[in-house]
Amino acid sequence: MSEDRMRMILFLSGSSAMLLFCLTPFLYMVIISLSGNPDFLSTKVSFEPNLDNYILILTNSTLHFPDYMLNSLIVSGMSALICVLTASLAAYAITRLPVPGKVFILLFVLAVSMFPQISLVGYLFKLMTNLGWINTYRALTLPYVAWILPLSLWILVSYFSQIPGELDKAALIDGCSRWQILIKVIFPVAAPGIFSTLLLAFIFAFNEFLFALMLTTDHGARTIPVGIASFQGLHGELPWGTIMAASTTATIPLLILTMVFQRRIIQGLTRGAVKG
Amino acid sequence: MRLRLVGITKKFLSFRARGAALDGLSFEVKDGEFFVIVGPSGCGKSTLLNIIAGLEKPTEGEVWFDDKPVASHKQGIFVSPRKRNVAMVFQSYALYPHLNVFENIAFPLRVTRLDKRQLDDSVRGAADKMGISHLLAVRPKELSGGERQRVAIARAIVRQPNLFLLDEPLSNLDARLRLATRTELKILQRSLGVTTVYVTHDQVEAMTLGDKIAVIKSGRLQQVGTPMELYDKPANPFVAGFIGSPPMNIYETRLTFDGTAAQVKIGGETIQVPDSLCQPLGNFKDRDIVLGIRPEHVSLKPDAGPGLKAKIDSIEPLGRETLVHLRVGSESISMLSTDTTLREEDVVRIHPDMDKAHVFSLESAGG
Repeated sequence: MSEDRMRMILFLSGSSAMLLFCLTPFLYMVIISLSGNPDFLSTKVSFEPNLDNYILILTNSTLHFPDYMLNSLIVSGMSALICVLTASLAAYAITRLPVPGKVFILLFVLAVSMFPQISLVGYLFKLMTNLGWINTYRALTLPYVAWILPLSLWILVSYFSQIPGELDKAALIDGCSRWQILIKVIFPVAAPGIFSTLLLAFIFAFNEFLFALMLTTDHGARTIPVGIASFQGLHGELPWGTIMAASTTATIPLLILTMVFQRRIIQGLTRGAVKG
Repeated sequence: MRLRLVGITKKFLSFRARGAALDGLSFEVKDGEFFVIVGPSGCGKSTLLNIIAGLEKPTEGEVWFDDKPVASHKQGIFVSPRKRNVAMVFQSYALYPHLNVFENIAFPLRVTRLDKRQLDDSVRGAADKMGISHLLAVRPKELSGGERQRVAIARAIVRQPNLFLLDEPLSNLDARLRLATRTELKILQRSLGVTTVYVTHDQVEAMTLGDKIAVIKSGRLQQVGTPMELYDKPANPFVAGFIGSPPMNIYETRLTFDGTAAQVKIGGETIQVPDSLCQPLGNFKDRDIVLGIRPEHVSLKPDAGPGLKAKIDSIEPLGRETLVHLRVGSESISMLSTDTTLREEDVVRIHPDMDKAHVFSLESAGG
């Protein structure tokens, strides 16, 4: 057997094993969500796919699934936007302006992000209760921004520092102010990096569970992860079909975001748009 | 526009580069002059250009545009680069990768909010001048090095700057293109008549381009003059060794006086030094000096008369001439010769033309 052929076989078997490992739970989830029978593991009943679970979660008003979805999208979107905007300004200052002690600022920010969530949530609950913000969007958005900011900052600093400094100098000489440089040169050049950071921040906020569990009380602000977890309590049983249908639906926004931005991200990585 | 620098000093307070990057530099660039700043890498010449552009503040000293100070430590004046109306071409070209060639050239005009028709005309005019009109829709990453450089120059000339600053613009080009662009750049500068400051580490570029040249070493000004002044009358051994190709032969030796004439020893052999050379040194009796002889002023001496006995180490044919490295005793000396019969290991007699040699005091070598 030729070496190329061997390599191809190894490559294919390796990647299919990897795919199988990663996607089996997802596949399992989708299958259960499509089965109408509560005894989905029993071989005595034949499997007949239907969309009952999906229709249920989307139409049953006591489940509040569309509310959770909307809450999640709004909270994650706002958190990601505020976070990336703040982080890009900070990253520009750290990579471009003569800020004293840049390294210490970066290390301090990293150290702050090391606190485990559980150590913060008690205090956050007290704070939000005193402010009367429990079960509002800002009660989630503010902690999310603070929580995701260090990561976004580090990613953007590494992106911005790849942009040659001479570009700033050229723009300064061409008559730009610092703000104009940021908007006309740095942001467009770093766009792939900013998009991928935005996506990452969104995913982080979308997946967050602990803060959302403690700081929300009902469908007014509750997000998807907590919402799905509360399905079981509502009915005193484990409605697997509904839970799986909700989980599957919840992945759709992330899937869409990844597909939309993936091209930009990969473009940025492979075509070296950053290099002058 | 006339550019004047007075006592420019720049000190860096970072961990990496401590001390003064520039130390009390003063010179003047006349209106329309092509002024070249040359020096080895790390001598502070790019910092100097940044100070002129306003990208960096001088720690001390003043920068004057005509009769107006744009940076003055004493008066607390600092005009930001956007208000100085200077244009700069960078070594890496610094084109905006997200904009096409047209938008790159138009960028400085867009910032000033020039009206659309005027902008269009100016951009096309500049592109025409640089011969890149056919590339206007292309992104920088699809251009070759030479084309990128043309775009960078077009961007610099498009808004008629007071001052044209070039930071090693040719060093990323290959040898042939560099030569062609060099000539073109000089013609362009003549036709625009813009005062130009050009930074390079290449003394050949400095000699061929500059109306005037400033030689800088370790942040200190060594000499300012026309190319021929620097070549004929270098102020110190550094300038002597830096300007001219192939480089000058330089020896630290002792000037002695045997009663009738001054003389020096090179590699154990004695040569007489004409009085005219020694006079600027004042009392030249028995003192240590630096002696410089250009390779083009060393010649073969066929007869066995006075001269130096030398053995040929290596031969480098340059085409029209041959650069010959020889050894006189323990010292090496290079010579330009048209003689093609020379072979390595040959022993010949050579004659340095001492009337054209240069003598420096040993103190001047320290600077």
